[in-house]
Amino acid sequence: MARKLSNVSNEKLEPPKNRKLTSTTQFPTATDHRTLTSLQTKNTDIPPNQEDEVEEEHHILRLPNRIVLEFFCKIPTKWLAQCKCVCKSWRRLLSDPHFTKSLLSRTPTYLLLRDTCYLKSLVIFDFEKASDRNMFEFWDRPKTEDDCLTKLSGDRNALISGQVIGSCNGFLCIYNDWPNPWRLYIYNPITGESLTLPTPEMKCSFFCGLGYSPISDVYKIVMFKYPSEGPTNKREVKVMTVGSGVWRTIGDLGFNVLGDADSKGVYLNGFLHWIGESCKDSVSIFAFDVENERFQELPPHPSALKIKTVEIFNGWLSIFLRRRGVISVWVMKDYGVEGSWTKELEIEKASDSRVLMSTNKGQVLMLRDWEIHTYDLGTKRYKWVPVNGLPLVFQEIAHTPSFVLLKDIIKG
Amino acid sequence: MSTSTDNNASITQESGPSAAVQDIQKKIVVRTADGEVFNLKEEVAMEIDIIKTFFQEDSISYETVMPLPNVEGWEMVKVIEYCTKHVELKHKVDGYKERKAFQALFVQNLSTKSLLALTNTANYLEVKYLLDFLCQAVSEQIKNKDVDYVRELFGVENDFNDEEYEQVKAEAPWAHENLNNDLH
Repeated sequence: MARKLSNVSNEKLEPPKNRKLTSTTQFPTATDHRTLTSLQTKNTDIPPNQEDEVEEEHHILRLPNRIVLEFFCKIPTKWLAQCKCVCKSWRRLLSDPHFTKSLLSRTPTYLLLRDTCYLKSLVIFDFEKASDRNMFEFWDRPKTEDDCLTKLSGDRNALISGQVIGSCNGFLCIYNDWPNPWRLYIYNPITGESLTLPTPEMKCSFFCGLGYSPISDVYKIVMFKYPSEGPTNKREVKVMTVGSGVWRTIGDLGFNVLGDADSKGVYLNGFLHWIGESCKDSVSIFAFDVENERFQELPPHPSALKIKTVEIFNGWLSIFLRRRGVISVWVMKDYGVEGSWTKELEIEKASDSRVLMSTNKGQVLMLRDWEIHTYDLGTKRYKWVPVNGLPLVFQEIAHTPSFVLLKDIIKG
Repeated sequence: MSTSTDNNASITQESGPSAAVQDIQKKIVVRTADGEVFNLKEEVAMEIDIIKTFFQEDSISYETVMPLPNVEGWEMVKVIEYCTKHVELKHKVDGYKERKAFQALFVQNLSTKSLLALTNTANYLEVKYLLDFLCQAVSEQIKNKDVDYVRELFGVENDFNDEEYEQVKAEAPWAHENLNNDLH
């Protein structure tokens, strides 16, 4: 039977290569105590400089990509971005279409905070790390940069001074109305790449959404006029497949969209969602099928009259209902299925608070008075999450950092 | 080139009734690339999927010595060490601290090169939890370190010229800012 090692030496254990078997080589029997020291005496067979020659073999990239992926998906984005600068083969790997796509599927979603007060800068907020943190540890540290925040700079075109109107798989859709005329961009803040999109002929405000179709593996932008009142036959919907350079009119909206012009299409699993009403007092959620380019009405929530926006909560389509300081989070457990609206949780003393995200630990991340808190569903208590350098006023966007290059998503 | 073990030697280690018990426990024998032979307790051997598949799915007799041509002797020693501990902790209710202490010690004496080689072996042998642990250990070595440190750690040469390097760096300048150098 295998014996536990004893007498572990403090020297680094180097893999012995080219070991020669001599007549004195002992083979282990069950009675042998295999010790590291006994292994190392056998190492004397190897001349020292042979170790240098085998260095090449231990280059991390010679391991199967599947394993390299395992390493990289555990490394925070900032350091991964640095890894691109290590050498050419690392850069190639972190730009490879398949690898970056696999990496994306293993990357958690963070909150991208767009500072709306000062420089309109972007910051990645690792809220899991922040809410996990030990208070005493935090106070002990010098008040410099906070490692839960990664400031993204290098936005040479000052894209981020525009509005973020869509976020999908790490790509942002940005609307910028300065300098005139207005422009639309697809931007990946991690790779720094951006693509200016041709603008359709829409002279007034519009609703917009950026979505992805996993079936055709394409990204599309949907646009329609705001306010969307008036005769239904004048509410044209335009769609552009990213990379095609062409806007296509696909038909009429068929419903009135509720909410402000800021209402972005909320993306989930191949669909973009808006709140609308097809006829008076019949409020519903409308889902745009990115693949088939058609709108469909989803089974409404009973109190749908009060909602203005759709949200994503814990991977479900959801709505937040406010009543007397309590936020009720309702989720559609089975997408598109009648009667699957379920009240997931309630948050008390939540007037003037905003729900941000759910955490892995089952808490709810909230914004109260522009400070981050976690709400514990069991104790119904808020816990302040101190974050150094949090923007004073911000817009939060769910975002998954991605190294996917634009050229790999542009299809004709 | 190699000789097989003398099975009788396994009985002489302890005297008394426990010797008889050990007699009954099945053993699986493997031979690594460098000709070393290992006797494994069945329950430890079954943690290694490639061994499990070999003996169970193909109903091969335990008398057969399984060859592992892609595994070195020292690697087998480490894998056995980890799997044995894993089996031991399976039966313990609160083994968290013990596991953490063991894991820290396990990687303490391994150079990065060895870690990578062992990761490859864990992948080949199909021991998922060991692979996950080793990947985590390697990631810990990379994260929070700057480019020069990572190059040194993996013995990788910088094959960018100055201009190219500046270009790559400029794609994500934020990644090179605000580095806390005392994280080394």
